Amino acid sequence: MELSGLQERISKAVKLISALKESEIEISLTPKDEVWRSDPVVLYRYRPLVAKPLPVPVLICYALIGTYDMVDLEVDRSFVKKLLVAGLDVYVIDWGKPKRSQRWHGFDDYVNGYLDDCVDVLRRASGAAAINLLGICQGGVFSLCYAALHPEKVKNLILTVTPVDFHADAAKKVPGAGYMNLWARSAREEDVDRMVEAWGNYPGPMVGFAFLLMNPIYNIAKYTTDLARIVDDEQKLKGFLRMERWIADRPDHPGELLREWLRELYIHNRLVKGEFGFGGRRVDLAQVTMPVLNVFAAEDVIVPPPSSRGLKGRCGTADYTEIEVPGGHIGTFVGSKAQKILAPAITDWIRARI
Amino acid sequence: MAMPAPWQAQLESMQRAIQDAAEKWRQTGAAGGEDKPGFAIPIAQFLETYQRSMQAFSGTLPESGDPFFAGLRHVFAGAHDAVGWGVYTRLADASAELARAQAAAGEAQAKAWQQIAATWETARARFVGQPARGEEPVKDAEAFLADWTRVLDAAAQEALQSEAGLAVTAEVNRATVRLRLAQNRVVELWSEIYNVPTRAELDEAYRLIHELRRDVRALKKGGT
Repeated sequence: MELSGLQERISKAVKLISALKESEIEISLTPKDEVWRSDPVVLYRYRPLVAKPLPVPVLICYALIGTYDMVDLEVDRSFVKKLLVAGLDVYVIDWGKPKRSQRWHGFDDYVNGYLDDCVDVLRRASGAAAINLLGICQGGVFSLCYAALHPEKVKNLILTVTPVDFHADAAKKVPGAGYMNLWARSAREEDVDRMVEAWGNYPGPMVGFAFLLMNPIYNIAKYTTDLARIVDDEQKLKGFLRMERWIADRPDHPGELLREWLRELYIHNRLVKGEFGFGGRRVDLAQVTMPVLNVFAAEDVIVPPPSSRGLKGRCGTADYTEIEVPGGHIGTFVGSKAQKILAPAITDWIRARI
Repeated sequence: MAMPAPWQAQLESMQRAIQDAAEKWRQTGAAGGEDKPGFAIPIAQFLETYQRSMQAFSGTLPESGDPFFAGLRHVFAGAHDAVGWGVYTRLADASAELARAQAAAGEAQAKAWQQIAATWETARARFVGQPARGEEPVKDAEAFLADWTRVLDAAAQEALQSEAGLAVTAEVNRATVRLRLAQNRVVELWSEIYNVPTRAELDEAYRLIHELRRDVRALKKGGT
């Protein structure tokens, strides 16, 4: 493509984008119903797509860094829809947009509070004593802690792109990977404390900026060369814009939770040392006795694979499975290659354990 | 921060009267306004000390390393609070810290920009120095940009993840936090002046509610 051709395509992209209607780039369209609410937290149940879904429901626990919509970004590449089509009964927690009043919320509130409430809703609704818990990234850490503290309520635990050993990447430095780990380890405890003191809840745009630094140039180039490359493909263009919409929608991160997240896990790596705890209880990974499926992404630069794989040999179950999917952190759920693997693998794994 | 206008006017009037008296006294002394022989404190020093003491009294004396004036600030602090000036003294200090924090943030950001410039130069040198460059024509503009992006991104990531890069990032972060804390402090003092609940007060109320709700939850769930 000559430079003039590139310019032509970029101006064509601008015209196409300006002609798009808001409704054409909406995300999170799979039908669902609100079943429970507390503060900004809402529990949704997706409408089943089969007459008789599996009797033990699946609860998706996403991170507070970003929104749960990522599991249902587009109708054609919706992770949730694939699970529904496969016959699962799927619920998702929407953590909402934490306000100033959530400034003191920490792991105890999210894990022993909201998450436990949601699990109880599923148990009551389904009649199952224990449910399938599917955690994603930070939500995976919540889920892992929950499974260790309330093992009787979790039938199967599925972790996806979840950091467990926060220092595992240190042994083998991969260029471009694990920037967040490096940054956090270079910080001092008092830096984290002052950060929380200064902002209360950490502003969403600043969280977004930290992620932007992981791939600084590509994150700028995507608005020029990448956009020009896909401008003729309306579907890809809409997909690009939907992803942009999701990326831009970063909730503020509750201050106290951020303090625990950075200090206890990123700096001190207490989870794998058996030193992490909240609400007066220690998180003992040996108490994770239910079957565990641990999914990690081969090219994940946010949660390097060794960090996720650090769970192996540390939990108390004999039924432990690891799956590697191609692509990066978010690509695990929206990438075309990973999509072919992830939902079927999870569905088959759960079906074999119901 | 200036004291209330009527007080300020009174103080200035007093200062003028004393300065006039001092000037008259100086004119009666040694020729050329030199210090009168026999006095232990030179006139200029006396006047400066007097002026700074008045500033300390009025709450407008900036923080300094001088223990005498630091002590005076403490001596008058109670009186300032008693007559409502104390908050202005604190506001003056907070504003001074805000200015220092802004300068520090600027310096930290300048270091980051220096690093960005160095990274750009590293990438440029690598890009033009690639062995194949110059032998094969670039396919098209897109290929050119893609190649440049790849080289630049690799250089940027190297820079960010290096010891120096992490140190600069940490410095920018610390400076940003310091600036934010300084801004918070100024806003807090203005809130105090206008009797508006401060952020710290709201946080404290939220903390109390949070603790109560946590207790209620524990009771509901049977102490789990």
